[in-house]
Amino acid sequence: MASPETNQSSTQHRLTDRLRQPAVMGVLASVTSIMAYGTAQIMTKALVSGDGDTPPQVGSVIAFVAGATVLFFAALPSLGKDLRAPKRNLLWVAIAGLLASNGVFLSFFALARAPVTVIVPIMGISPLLTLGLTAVFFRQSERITKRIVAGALLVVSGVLLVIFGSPA
Amino acid sequence: MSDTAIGISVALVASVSWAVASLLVRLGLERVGARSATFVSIIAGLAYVLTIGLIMDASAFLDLTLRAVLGFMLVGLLSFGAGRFLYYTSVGLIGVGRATAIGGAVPIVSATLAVIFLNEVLALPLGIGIVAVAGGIALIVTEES
Repeated sequence: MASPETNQSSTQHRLTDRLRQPAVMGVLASVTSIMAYGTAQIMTKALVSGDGDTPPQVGSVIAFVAGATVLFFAALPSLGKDLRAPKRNLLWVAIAGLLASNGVFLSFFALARAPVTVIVPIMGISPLLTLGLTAVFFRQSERITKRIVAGALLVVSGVLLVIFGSPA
Repeated sequence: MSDTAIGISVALVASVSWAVASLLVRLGLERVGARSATFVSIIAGLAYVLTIGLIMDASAFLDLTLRAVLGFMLVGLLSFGAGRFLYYTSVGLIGVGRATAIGGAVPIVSATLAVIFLNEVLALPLGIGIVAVAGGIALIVTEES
């Protein structure tokens, strides 16, 4: 019969093994990512909401420079190898960066032209749009099940409820 | 074309931009590591926002306070050093569909933090929204990959 110490050690090993599974690591990374984005949004609101504060486009440049500096040092050990990857893959990532920034810029423009109640739901469908496009273009490698679609619908509905139900 | 119609069209383009960006990240990550991919995407984004910023008002870059510089540096560390890098990491590990669906919950995190730190009101819709988002994420993460 195993001793209590052996059982405890075995439980710890099982837990560690489970945490190291890509699916668990991926979910943890995703959840931590939304925590970081959410905190950054609150900080941005505090920085741009006063009179005479820094314009958002200037603040964005400072934020990008800080992010680029940190990521440069974080990526340094593998940057040389990664930059020798096929140019096509690097181009996809660079275009993704451009499109993400373009989306933010256009969202400001849209909000300046039309009511929030019209614009926010349109922007809120982006995750559902991504799911749809993933189902079309990555059907060989990613399974988009009814359960995932239902989960995404719940997430988007919950977010829209908060946006439109919050006191002005 | 009315202002509302222009706004709707532009918002649609914004949504499509984000969705296509996510798919391109997924493609790029097939041969590039998450750290390097995040770095390259930030450099491309920096070129974009710098161009827009200079076109809109170049003189605004000369009128900065220390508080603003430090504050936005922290925002950059959180948004890009942590947020974007971890999002790219999750795309590589669990796929773009699941990672993006979970990522859609960012406004709920912001609203919850605003209640905690900015003393905003905890309204009933926020409570229901949190439950809906938590339920949605639970459905996504418990799906067998």
